[in-house]
Amino acid sequence: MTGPVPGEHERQSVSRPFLAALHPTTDVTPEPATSDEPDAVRPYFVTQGRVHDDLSGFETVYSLTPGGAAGLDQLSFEHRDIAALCRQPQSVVEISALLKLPLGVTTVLTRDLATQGYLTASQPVADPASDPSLIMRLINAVHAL
Amino acid sequence: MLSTHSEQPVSAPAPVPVKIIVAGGFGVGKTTLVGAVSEIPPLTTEAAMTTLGAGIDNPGEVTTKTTTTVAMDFGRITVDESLRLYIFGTPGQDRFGFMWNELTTGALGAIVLVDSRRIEDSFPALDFFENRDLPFVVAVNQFSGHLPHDLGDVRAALDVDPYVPVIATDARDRGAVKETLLVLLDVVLQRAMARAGAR
Repeated sequence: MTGPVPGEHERQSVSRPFLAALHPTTDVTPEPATSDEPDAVRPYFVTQGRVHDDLSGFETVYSLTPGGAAGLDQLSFEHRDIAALCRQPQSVVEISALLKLPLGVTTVLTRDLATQGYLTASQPVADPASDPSLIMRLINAVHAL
Repeated sequence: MLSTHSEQPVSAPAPVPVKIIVAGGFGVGKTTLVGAVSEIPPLTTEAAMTTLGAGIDNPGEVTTKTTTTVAMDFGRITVDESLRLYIFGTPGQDRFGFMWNELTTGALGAIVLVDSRRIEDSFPALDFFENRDLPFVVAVNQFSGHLPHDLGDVRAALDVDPYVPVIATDARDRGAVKETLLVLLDVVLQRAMARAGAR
Protein backbone atom coordinates (compact mmCIF):
# COMPACT_ATOMS: atom_id res chain seq x y z
CA MET A 1 0.00 0.00 0.00
CA THR A 2 2.53 2.58 -1.07
CA GLY A 3 0.77 4.19 -4.02
CA PRO A 4 1.54 7.77 -4.79
CA VAL A 5 -0.48 10.35 -2.94
CA PRO A 6 -2.22 13.15 -4.83
CA GLY A 7 -0.01 16.15 -4.62
CA GLU A 8 3.18 14.17 -5.02
CA HIS A 9 2.88 14.54 -8.74
CA GLU A 10 1.78 17.36 -10.95
CA ARG A 11 -1.97 17.83 -10.81
CA GLN A 12 -2.39 18.21 -14.56
CA SER A 13 -1.32 14.62 -15.08
CA VAL A 14 -1.25 12.90 -18.42
CA SER A 15 -3.93 10.44 -17.27
CA ARG A 16 -6.73 12.99 -17.72
CA PRO A 17 -6.13 14.33 -21.22
CA PHE A 18 -9.50 16.05 -21.45
CA LEU A 19 -8.81 18.22 -18.47
CA ALA A 20 -6.92 21.03 -20.12
CA ALA A 21 -9.16 21.12 -23.16
CA LEU A 22 -12.41 21.30 -21.23
CA HIS A 23 -11.28 23.70 -18.56
CA PRO A 24 -8.44 25.93 -19.68
CA THR A 25 -8.56 27.92 -16.47
CA THR A 26 -8.71 26.23 -13.08
CA ASP A 27 -10.32 28.24 -10.35
CA VAL A 28 -9.85 26.38 -7.10
CA THR A 29 -11.89 27.75 -4.24
CA PRO A 30 -10.18 27.07 -0.93
CA GLU A 31 -12.14 25.31 1.79
CA PRO A 32 -13.30 28.08 4.16
CA ALA A 33 -11.99 28.04 7.70
CA THR A 34 -14.61 26.99 10.20
CA SER A 35 -15.62 29.58 12.75
CA ASP A 36 -15.70 27.38 15.85
CA GLU A 37 -12.29 25.77 15.80
CA PRO A 38 -11.33 23.90 18.94
CA ASP A 39 -9.13 25.62 21.46
CA ALA A 40 -5.66 25.10 20.08
CA VAL A 41 -3.82 25.07 23.41
CA ARG A 42 -5.86 23.29 26.05
CA PRO A 43 -6.25 19.86 24.37
CA TYR A 44 -2.52 19.47 23.85
CA PHE A 45 -1.96 20.32 27.50
CA VAL A 46 -4.21 17.41 28.48
CA THR A 47 -2.22 15.00 26.32
CA GLN A 48 1.02 16.42 27.74
CA GLY A 49 2.00 17.42 24.26
CA ARG A 50 1.47 14.01 22.71
CA VAL A 51 -0.25 13.97 19.34
CA HIS A 52 -0.69 11.20 16.85
CA ASP A 53 0.42 11.97 13.33
CA ASP A 54 -0.97 8.59 12.38
CA LEU A 55 -4.73 8.98 12.66
CA SER A 56 -5.61 5.63 11.12
CA GLY A 57 -8.34 3.75 12.92
CA PHE A 58 -10.26 6.93 13.71
CA GLU A 59 -13.49 4.98 13.20
CA THR A 60 -12.55 2.62 16.06
CA VAL A 61 -15.55 2.37 18.40
CA TYR A 62 -14.96 2.69 22.15
CA SER A 63 -17.35 1.80 24.95
CA LEU A 64 -17.23 2.20 28.71
CA THR A 65 -16.34 -0.91 30.74
CA PRO A 66 -18.15 -1.73 34.03
CA GLY A 67 -14.88 -0.97 35.80
CA GLY A 68 -14.69 2.30 33.91
CA ALA A 69 -18.24 3.19 34.91
CA ALA A 70 -17.42 2.46 38.55
CA GLY A 71 -14.19 4.46 38.38
CA LEU A 72 -15.51 7.45 36.48
CA ASP A 73 -15.05 9.73 39.51
CA GLN A 74 -11.31 9.09 39.43
CA LEU A 75 -11.11 10.82 36.05
CA SER A 76 -11.13 14.53 35.36
CA PHE A 77 -11.64 16.95 32.53
CA GLU A 78 -11.38 15.56 28.99
CA HIS A 79 -10.68 12.00 30.14
CA ARG A 80 -13.91 12.00 32.13
CA ASP A 81 -15.92 13.65 29.34
CA ILE A 82 -14.76 10.99 26.90
CA ALA A 83 -15.40 8.07 29.25
CA ALA A 84 -18.88 9.38 30.11
CA LEU A 85 -19.71 9.83 26.41
CA CYS A 86 -18.75 6.21 25.77
CA ARG A 87 -21.64 4.86 27.88
CA GLN A 88 -23.05 4.63 24.38
CA PRO A 89 -20.46 3.18 21.97
CA GLN A 90 -18.76 6.03 20.10
CA SER A 91 -16.10 6.18 17.41
CA VAL A 92 -13.02 8.36 17.82
CA VAL A 93 -14.35 10.77 15.18
CA GLU A 94 -17.70 11.08 16.96
CA ILE A 95 -15.97 11.80 20.27
CA SER A 96 -13.78 14.36 18.51
CA ALA A 97 -16.77 16.06 16.90
CA LEU A 98 -19.07 16.00 19.93
CA LEU A 99 -16.45 17.23 22.43
CA LYS A 100 -14.79 19.57 19.90
CA LEU A 101 -11.37 18.01 20.43
CA PRO A 102 -8.86 17.69 17.58
CA LEU A 103 -8.72 14.19 16.15
CA GLY A 104 -5.07 13.63 17.10
CA VAL A 105 -5.77 14.55 20.72
CA THR A 106 -8.86 12.34 20.86
CA THR A 107 -6.84 9.44 19.44
CA VAL A 108 -4.27 9.78 22.24
CA LEU A 109 -6.84 10.11 25.03
CA THR A 110 -9.04 7.20 23.95
CA ARG A 111 -5.98 4.93 23.69
CA ASP A 112 -4.92 6.04 27.17
CA LEU A 113 -8.35 5.22 28.58
CA ALA A 114 -8.38 1.82 26.89
CA THR A 115 -4.91 1.01 28.26
CA GLN A 116 -6.12 1.94 31.73
CA GLY A 117 -9.18 -0.29 31.41
CA TYR A 118 -11.85 2.41 31.33
CA LEU A 119 -12.78 1.80 27.72
CA THR A 120 -12.81 -1.21 25.46
CA ALA A 121 -11.98 -0.79 21.78
CA SER A 122 -13.83 -2.30 18.84
CA GLN A 123 -11.32 -2.16 15.99
CA PRO A 124 -12.35 -1.68 12.35
CA VAL A 125 -12.86 -4.79 10.24
CA ALA A 126 -9.41 -5.57 8.85
CA ASP A 127 -10.35 -6.38 5.25
CA PRO A 128 -14.11 -5.79 4.87
CA ALA A 129 -13.95 -5.74 1.07
CA SER A 130 -13.11 -9.45 0.93
CA ASP A 131 -16.07 -10.60 3.06
CA PRO A 132 -19.18 -11.17 0.90
CA SER A 133 -21.45 -11.94 3.87
CA LEU A 134 -20.51 -8.68 5.57
CA ILE A 135 -21.18 -6.79 2.34
CA MET A 136 -24.59 -8.49 2.06
CA ARG A 137 -25.46 -7.30 5.58
CA LEU A 138 -24.62 -3.75 4.48
CA ILE A 139 -26.71 -4.09 1.31
CA ASN A 140 -29.71 -5.30 3.31
CA ALA A 141 -29.31 -2.47 5.80
CA VAL A 142 -29.16 0.18 3.05
CA HIS A 143 -32.21 -1.38 1.35
CA ALA A 144 -34.09 -1.13 4.64
CA LEU A 145 -33.33 2.59 5.14
CA MET B 1 -4.81 2.10 36.08
CA LEU B 2 -8.10 0.76 37.30
CA SER B 3 -8.02 -1.80 40.09
CA THR B 4 -11.09 -3.59 38.77
CA HIS B 5 -10.15 -5.82 35.93
CA SER B 6 -13.32 -6.25 33.93
CA GLU B 7 -12.79 -5.62 30.24
CA GLN B 8 -16.44 -6.21 29.41
CA PRO B 9 -18.41 -3.23 28.13
CA VAL B 10 -21.32 -1.91 30.17
CA SER B 11 -23.99 -2.93 27.69
CA ALA B 12 -23.75 -5.08 24.57
CA PRO B 13 -20.35 -5.41 22.88
CA ALA B 14 -19.49 -2.33 20.84
CA PRO B 15 -20.32 -2.60 17.14
CA VAL B 16 -17.48 -3.12 14.70
CA PRO B 17 -17.05 -0.16 12.31
CA VAL B 18 -16.71 -0.23 8.53
CA LYS B 19 -16.45 2.87 6.36
CA ILE B 20 -17.23 4.29 2.94
CA ILE B 21 -15.60 7.44 1.60
CA VAL B 22 -17.39 10.26 -0.24
CA ALA B 23 -14.87 12.39 -2.13
CA GLY B 24 -15.27 15.39 -4.37
CA GLY B 25 -14.53 19.06 -4.78
CA PHE B 26 -15.62 21.82 -2.44
CA GLY B 27 -19.33 22.57 -2.62
CA VAL B 28 -20.23 19.49 -4.67
CA GLY B 29 -22.68 18.25 -2.03
CA LYS B 30 -20.72 15.70 0.04
CA THR B 31 -22.19 16.73 3.38
CA THR B 32 -25.69 16.85 1.90
CA LEU B 33 -25.25 13.33 0.56
CA VAL B 34 -24.01 12.05 3.93
CA GLY B 35 -26.95 13.72 5.68
CA ALA B 36 -29.48 12.16 3.30
CA VAL B 37 -28.85 8.64 4.65
CA SER B 38 -27.19 9.17 8.05
CA GLU B 39 -29.13 8.31 11.22
CA ILE B 40 -27.43 11.23 12.97
CA PRO B 41 -27.08 14.80 11.68
CA PRO B 42 -23.69 14.99 9.92
CA LEU B 43 -20.89 15.73 12.36
CA THR B 44 -17.61 17.52 11.67
CA THR B 45 -14.25 16.61 13.12
CA GLU B 46 -11.07 18.55 12.71
CA ALA B 47 -7.54 17.28 12.62
CA ALA B 48 -4.64 19.66 13.06
CA MET B 49 -1.98 18.28 10.76
CA THR B 50 1.66 19.23 10.63
CA THR B 51 2.83 19.05 7.08
CA LEU B 52 5.92 19.95 5.13
CA GLY B 53 5.47 23.23 3.35
CA ALA B 54 7.74 25.10 0.98
CA GLY B 55 10.99 23.63 -0.24
CA ILE B 56 9.64 20.45 -1.80
CA ASP B 57 9.98 21.80 -5.30
CA ASN B 58 13.11 23.77 -4.48
CA PRO B 59 15.46 21.48 -2.57
CA GLY B 60 17.89 24.29 -1.97
CA GLU B 61 15.43 26.17 0.20
CA VAL B 62 14.87 25.60 3.88
CA THR B 63 11.89 23.29 4.42
CA THR B 64 9.24 24.81 6.65
CA LYS B 65 6.58 23.05 8.66
CA THR B 66 3.04 24.37 8.59
CA THR B 67 -0.05 23.30 10.45
CA THR B 68 -3.22 22.77 8.47
CA THR B 69 -6.65 22.01 9.80
CA VAL B 70 -8.52 19.30 7.96
CA ALA B 71 -12.29 19.22 8.38
CA MET B 72 -14.12 15.98 7.73
CA ASP B 73 -17.89 15.50 7.73
CA PHE B 74 -19.39 12.14 8.49
CA GLY B 75 -22.55 10.24 9.32
CA ARG B 76 -23.43 6.71 10.31
CA ILE B 77 -25.85 3.87 9.63
CA THR B 78 -26.44 1.13 12.19
CA VAL B 79 -26.42 -2.17 10.30
CA ASP B 80 -27.16 -4.36 13.32
CA GLU B 81 -25.96 -4.53 16.93
CA SER B 82 -22.53 -5.74 15.87
CA LEU B 83 -21.88 -3.70 12.72
CA ARG B 84 -21.91 0.04 12.05
CA LEU B 85 -21.30 1.83 8.75
CA TYR B 86 -19.61 5.23 8.79
CA ILE B 87 -19.72 7.49 5.74
CA PHE B 88 -16.94 10.06 5.53
CA GLY B 89 -17.04 13.11 3.30
CA THR B 90 -13.56 14.31 2.50
CA PRO B 91 -12.34 17.44 0.75
CA GLY B 92 -10.83 16.56 -2.59
CA GLN B 93 -8.23 19.26 -3.00
CA ASP B 94 -4.62 18.27 -3.34
CA ARG B 95 -3.63 19.89 -0.10
CA PHE B 96 -5.67 17.35 1.82
CA GLY B 97 -3.96 14.42 0.17
CA PHE B 98 -1.95 13.54 3.22
CA MET B 99 -5.14 12.62 5.10
CA TRP B 100 -6.28 10.15 2.45
CA ASN B 101 -4.04 7.32 3.59
CA GLU B 102 -5.81 7.20 6.93
CA LEU B 103 -9.18 7.62 5.24
CA THR B 104 -8.82 4.81 2.78
CA THR B 105 -7.10 2.26 5.02
CA GLY B 106 -9.73 -0.41 5.62
CA ALA B 107 -12.38 1.40 3.55
CA LEU B 108 -14.91 -0.68 1.64
CA GLY B 109 -15.06 1.68 -1.27
CA ALA B 110 -15.71 5.25 -2.33
CA ILE B 111 -18.25 7.47 -4.02
CA VAL B 112 -16.67 10.21 -6.13
CA LEU B 113 -19.26 12.98 -6.23
CA VAL B 114 -18.95 15.12 -9.32
CA ASP B 115 -20.33 18.49 -10.38
CA SER B 116 -20.33 18.09 -14.15
CA ARG B 117 -19.59 21.81 -14.55
CA ARG B 118 -16.35 21.38 -12.58
CA ILE B 119 -15.28 17.83 -13.24
CA GLU B 120 -11.59 18.58 -12.78
CA ASP B 121 -12.26 18.91 -9.02
CA SER B 122 -12.71 15.14 -8.90
CA PHE B 123 -9.43 14.22 -10.61
CA PRO B 124 -7.28 13.99 -7.45
CA ALA B 125 -9.81 11.58 -5.92
CA LEU B 126 -10.03 9.47 -9.09
CA ASP B 127 -6.26 9.25 -9.40
CA PHE B 128 -5.91 8.28 -5.75
CA PHE B 129 -8.58 5.57 -5.72
CA GLU B 130 -7.30 4.10 -8.98
CA ASN B 131 -3.78 3.96 -7.58
CA ARG B 132 -5.05 2.34 -4.39
CA ASP B 133 -7.23 -0.12 -6.32
CA LEU B 134 -10.13 0.93 -4.10
CA PRO B 135 -13.56 0.19 -5.62
CA PHE B 136 -15.45 3.37 -6.45
CA VAL B 137 -18.41 4.73 -8.36
CA VAL B 138 -18.70 8.13 -9.98
CA ALA B 139 -21.94 9.87 -8.97
CA VAL B 140 -22.82 13.03 -10.88
CA ASN B 141 -24.86 15.30 -8.64
CA GLN B 142 -28.03 16.74 -10.20
CA PHE B 143 -28.16 20.33 -9.07
CA SER B 144 -31.67 21.76 -9.46
CA GLY B 145 -32.98 18.38 -10.51
CA HIS B 146 -31.30 17.94 -13.86
CA LEU B 147 -27.93 17.09 -15.33
CA PRO B 148 -26.30 19.85 -17.36
CA HIS B 149 -24.21 17.27 -19.20
CA ASP B 150 -24.79 13.84 -20.68
CA LEU B 151 -23.42 10.97 -18.53
CA GLY B 152 -21.57 9.55 -21.52
CA ASP B 153 -19.78 12.86 -22.03
CA VAL B 154 -18.88 12.97 -18.34
CA ARG B 155 -17.48 9.43 -18.53
CA ALA B 156 -15.42 10.34 -21.58
CA ALA B 157 -14.07 13.45 -19.87
CA LEU B 158 -13.23 11.56 -16.66
CA ASP B 159 -11.49 8.78 -18.60
CA VAL B 160 -12.36 6.11 -15.99
CA ASP B 161 -12.13 2.39 -16.64
CA PRO B 162 -15.16 0.83 -18.40
CA TYR B 163 -16.15 -1.21 -15.32
CA VAL B 164 -16.46 1.89 -13.11
CA PRO B 165 -20.16 2.88 -12.87
CA VAL B 166 -20.90 6.50 -13.80
CA ILE B 167 -24.38 7.32 -12.52
CA ALA B 168 -26.60 10.30 -11.79
CA THR B 169 -27.59 11.02 -8.21
CA ASP B 170 -29.28 13.73 -6.17
CA ALA B 171 -27.40 14.37 -2.93
CA ARG B 172 -30.55 15.80 -1.32
CA ASP B 173 -32.71 12.78 -2.07
CA ARG B 174 -32.60 9.82 0.31
CA GLY B 175 -33.79 7.36 -2.35
CA ALA B 176 -31.19 8.51 -4.87
CA VAL B 177 -28.38 8.33 -2.31
CA LYS B 178 -29.53 4.86 -1.20
CA GLU B 179 -29.36 3.78 -4.85
CA THR B 180 -25.85 5.26 -5.17
CA LEU B 181 -24.70 3.35 -2.09
CA LEU B 182 -26.24 0.15 -3.47
CA VAL B 183 -24.43 0.57 -6.80
CA LEU B 184 -21.15 0.93 -4.91
CA LEU B 185 -21.88 -2.02 -2.61
CA ASP B 186 -22.72 -4.13 -5.66
CA VAL B 187 -19.32 -3.33 -7.19
CA VAL B 188 -17.68 -4.21 -3.86
CA LEU B 189 -19.66 -7.46 -3.61
CA GLN B 190 -18.85 -8.54 -7.19
CA ARG B 191 -15.18 -7.99 -6.50
CA ALA B 192 -15.30 -9.88 -3.19
CA MET B 193 -17.07 -12.82 -4.80
CA ALA B 194 -14.61 -12.88 -7.70
CA ARG B 195 -11.76 -12.96 -5.18
CA ALA B 196 -13.42 -15.70 -3.13
CA GLY B 197 -13.96 -17.75 -6.32
CA ALA B 198 -10.34 -17.32 -7.32
CA ARG B 199 -9.06 -18.78 -4.06
